[in-house]
Amino acid sequence: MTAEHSEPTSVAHRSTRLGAQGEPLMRIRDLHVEYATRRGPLSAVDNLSLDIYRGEILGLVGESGCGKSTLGKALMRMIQPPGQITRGQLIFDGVDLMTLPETEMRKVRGARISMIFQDPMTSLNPVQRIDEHIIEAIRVHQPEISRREARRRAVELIERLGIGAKRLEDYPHQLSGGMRQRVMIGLALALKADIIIADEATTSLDVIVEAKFLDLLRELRDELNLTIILITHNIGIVAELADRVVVMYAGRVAEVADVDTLFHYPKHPYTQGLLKSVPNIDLDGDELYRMPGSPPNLIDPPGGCRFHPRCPQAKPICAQREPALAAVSPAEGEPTPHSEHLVHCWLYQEHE
Amino acid sequence: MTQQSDVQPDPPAQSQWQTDLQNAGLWRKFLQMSRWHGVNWWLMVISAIGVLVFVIIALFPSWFAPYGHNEEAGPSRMAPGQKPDNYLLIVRQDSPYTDFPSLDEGVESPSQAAKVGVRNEVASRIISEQRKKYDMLGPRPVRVFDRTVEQFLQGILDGDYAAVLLNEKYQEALADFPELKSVGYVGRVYKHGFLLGTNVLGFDVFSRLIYGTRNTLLIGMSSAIFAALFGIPIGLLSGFWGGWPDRLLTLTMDSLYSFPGLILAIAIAAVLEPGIGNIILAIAVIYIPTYFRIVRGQTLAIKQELYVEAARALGAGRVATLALYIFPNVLASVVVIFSVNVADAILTGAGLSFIGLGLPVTTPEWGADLAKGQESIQSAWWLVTFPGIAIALLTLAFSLLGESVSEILNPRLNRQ
Amino acid sequence: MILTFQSLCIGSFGLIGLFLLYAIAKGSPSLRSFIITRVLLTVPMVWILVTVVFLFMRVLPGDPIKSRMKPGTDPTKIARIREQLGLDDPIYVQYVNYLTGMVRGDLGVSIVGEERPVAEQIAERLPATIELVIPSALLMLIFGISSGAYAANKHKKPPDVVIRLGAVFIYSIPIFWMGLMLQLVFSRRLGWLPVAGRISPDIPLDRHTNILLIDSVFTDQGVQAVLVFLLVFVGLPLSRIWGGVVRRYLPDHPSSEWLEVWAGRIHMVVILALVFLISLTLRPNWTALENVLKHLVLPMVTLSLALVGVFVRLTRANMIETLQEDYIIAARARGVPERTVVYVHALRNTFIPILTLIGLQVAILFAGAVLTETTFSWPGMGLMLRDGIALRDYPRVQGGVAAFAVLIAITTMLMDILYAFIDPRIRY
Repeated sequence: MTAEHSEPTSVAHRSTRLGAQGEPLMRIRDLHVEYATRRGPLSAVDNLSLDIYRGEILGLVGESGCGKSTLGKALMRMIQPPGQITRGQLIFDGVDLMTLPETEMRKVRGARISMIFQDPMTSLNPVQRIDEHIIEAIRVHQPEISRREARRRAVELIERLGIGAKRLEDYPHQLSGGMRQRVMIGLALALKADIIIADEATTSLDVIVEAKFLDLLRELRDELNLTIILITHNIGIVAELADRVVVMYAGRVAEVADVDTLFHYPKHPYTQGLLKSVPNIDLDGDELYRMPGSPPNLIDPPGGCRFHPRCPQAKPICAQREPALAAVSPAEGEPTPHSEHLVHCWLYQEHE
Repeated sequence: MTQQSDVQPDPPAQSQWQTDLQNAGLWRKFLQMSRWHGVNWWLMVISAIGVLVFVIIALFPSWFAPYGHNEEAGPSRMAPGQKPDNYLLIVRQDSPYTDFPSLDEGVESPSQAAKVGVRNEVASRIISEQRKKYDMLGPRPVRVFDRTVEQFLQGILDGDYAAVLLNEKYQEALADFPELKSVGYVGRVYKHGFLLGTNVLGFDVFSRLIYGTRNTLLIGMSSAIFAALFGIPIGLLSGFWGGWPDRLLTLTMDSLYSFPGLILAIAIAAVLEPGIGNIILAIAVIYIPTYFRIVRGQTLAIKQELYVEAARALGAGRVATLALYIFPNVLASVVVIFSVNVADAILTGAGLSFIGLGLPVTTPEWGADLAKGQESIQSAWWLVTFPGIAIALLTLAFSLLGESVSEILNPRLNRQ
Repeated sequence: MILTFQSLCIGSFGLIGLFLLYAIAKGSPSLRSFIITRVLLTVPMVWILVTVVFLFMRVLPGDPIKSRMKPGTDPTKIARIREQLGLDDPIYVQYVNYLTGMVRGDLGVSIVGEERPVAEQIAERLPATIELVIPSALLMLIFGISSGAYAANKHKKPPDVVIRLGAVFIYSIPIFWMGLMLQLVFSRRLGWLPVAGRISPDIPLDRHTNILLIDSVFTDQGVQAVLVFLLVFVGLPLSRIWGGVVRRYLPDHPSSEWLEVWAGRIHMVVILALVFLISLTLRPNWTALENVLKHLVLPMVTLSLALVGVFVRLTRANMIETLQEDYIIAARARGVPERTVVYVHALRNTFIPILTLIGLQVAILFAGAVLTETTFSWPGMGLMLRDGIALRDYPRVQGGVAAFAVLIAITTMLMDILYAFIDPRIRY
């Protein structure tokens, strides 16, 4: 439903977007992120592997504290102490980001991978004018560009995003929330980054502004062949915008599938529960499903599959060994998924 | 600012930690806290011990001081650790004199007997004291600087002097004069020097410091307490009631706050009689705005909190709301301010004494001692140095206490 | 005489007034109302302070004359002084006389020593205090803010702990004692610097402003000083307009970019060249300048050390909070180098709250100045107060304190307005 109306170039991307072929733009392998706490290390992201393809919008969903924001920050190596990436590879465009020195990594941030933050109200420097923000973002990575040229680009950029060039002279507090969020996108796009990570980018916007913002994201993706990682707990946004969805639970990937497959034929009991607990305007009268229990304490997570204490279909093996993240084939009567459908669950795997 | 808001990012760990703490013994609690707060905890403990030590010294100075605070313990301006000279009274073997005062009792011919040979100024001080004691009738000192010890001793034999005060150091010279004998030491006999030297009047600096602790501490603490006693209620009421009285009070207090306390205290102290009570009054007045501002701000903030609204909705009266809900929450921040304020008051008090609004010489107080020491800074560096160190240490103890407690209580700075 | 202390005062107040008018005219409504309120608020603030001083000195128990006169003073003399000061009038008459006197600039006449008007003495002493306070404040700002920012950047690491403890330590040292110790070591023991005073008595120097640094640089009448002053404070702002005009008529073509850059800068170049040319005509009194600077070193260091502790703490606490802000993390995520993030983005934001705090620290600065002047026999207003107390010259103390009140109220007001002007959230 995403690419039907867009220009021919984006149709070409659609195949890669749906993960059919092509070299992944970013390959995450065995990523571990830990936070040092007084009661021992907290594993926020545990042994996570994932491929991200060029031109796709990847939704990253899960409950609060499941590690999705941590994962987003880890992709830019922006984890602040006491957090730390303890292990893993982040192969981006053929280079393992984990091996880069900090100075090289800095050149990736903003230029190749950008981030849009949750709260546009506080994510812009209050004493810096909008044009100074954009000029700085450009010139930090391309010092050879003159200020005047950088400003010209800022004007182009900001007009492309539907803000008048006059607003460049303004300070952040003079703009509305929606405008600020568009400025944040402008900053992320200033250097034509390959990947944009939007971390709960719409949470603080009202519904109308949010809808406009999502349209803008989609347009930009189609136009610039961006890769967007959409981190959110709002399933609706993912259904609306994403091509592929990653469901995370307790620092691990529970399920990966293209958006249609995931919403219509979820495999993992957690995904099933998650989808059932989404309020839906159509289902009037029905009581919402409430998942039993609460997310585990990640300092001392349950052994085996981390979901097993809350899982309605748990088996003895679930408490003993961790399942693999393996591809499943569609059940009878189900259509073939557009991309690989991966599930991290013993229900779909042989054991013993 | 309150302890309840000290919420850490991981709630399960926090609650576990709290239950651990509730179950632990006192000592284990202590160690747990030290692990939790790190260096700030130890700073707090050390500075609290420091404050305690100063308080004990202030309460029981006689346990620590070797001399009294107004006791002329030794010669004027002795350097720290230097032992003062002792003097022997030398007379003829057949002399009837057995000690220094008897010199004038046994006068046969006053012009002869009253002469005493003097080798240095310290000895002359001893003589002049004796003269004072005996209504100026005592022996008359003869100061002759170009004579050697031997010439002085010969002087007794020649009848020039009735006696000679001989520095202990030159005792050996006596061996050549079998006709002379030493009757004994004159005045105080010093076995040791003075740890931190003596001042111009011969008071022991160390003892002065010990006895001065009480006054310095008294000035600092009681002016902070008085300021708090006035500032807290005014701030509470002003913040609670609001309206034009609040605006007027705030403007007044802000004006006072922007004015240097020391200069205001100078104005106050300039019309009052010098004395500890009035210094305390002057300083207390200038710190009222400090408490007012903090308490008023906190009151305004807490007034908006849900639990206060809830209490009022449940029918708690104004007084009850103020006393039971707002006041306890304001208190936490006042405690931190108080400690820093005491440090500040000590410095201001010392500054006042230094400027000359101080106290009479008989009252031991560090700032005043320092100011007096400044007059002889060229010849006696210790008179300025040690009171200053004492003030700095006392202030340091209080400000470190305030600093570390505020770091521990302030979750904003500890968020990471 | 062109350059005198009076003309300097009138000149700077004129400039400040122009600046305020400009800010009121060009600023946003919020800035405009803020400035007007703040200026108007200064009047009641001064009035309250002056009243408080009056109340303390007249209403508190204690007689300013009796308690201050030596016992055995001739009672008729006391009565004469009481009458002269109007102390026998009812308190409200005294108050009205005091206020009207202040408005007319009449602070009474000294009753002890040289019996001169207090206002005259203050005018004579004020330049010395200014000469001490301004360089100390600058030194303190540089040291305080840089080390506070550094400590915040190293939050909870050893440098932070060391700087923090050092700040508490310095704060705990009585300022006059620190001055005496510095004096003991550098003047008396090592003999590197003079012990006290502003200038050696054997050095001839015309005192037209009585700010000796200015006097020793601009020796002849100070025509150049006025020119430099005008160029920097009037020429530079005016020439910005000219730069804008040039830029507007340049062709919008990539090749004109360097031209535009230089058109924007050339006014500064011209003015700096003029300043340089004018300074070539100066005949500074080098010996006097060296002597004055040498006298200034110890008092300046003492006063700034006394304040630096407070400032390190303020900067550090503000900076730590700022460094946790979202826009700092966002700047890092844009690949802005860490140094720029900390020392440009964070520091610029920290500087605004700090500036308001400078306004409050003005009080400490002046209190410190009183003590420092006493320590180093620096003939400023603080020493005047001290002498007033020592001589029991009651009008001198009252007048001096009142003068401090006015001085501080004005300084605080200017700081607040500057803060409002710098912070874009208020400016627009």
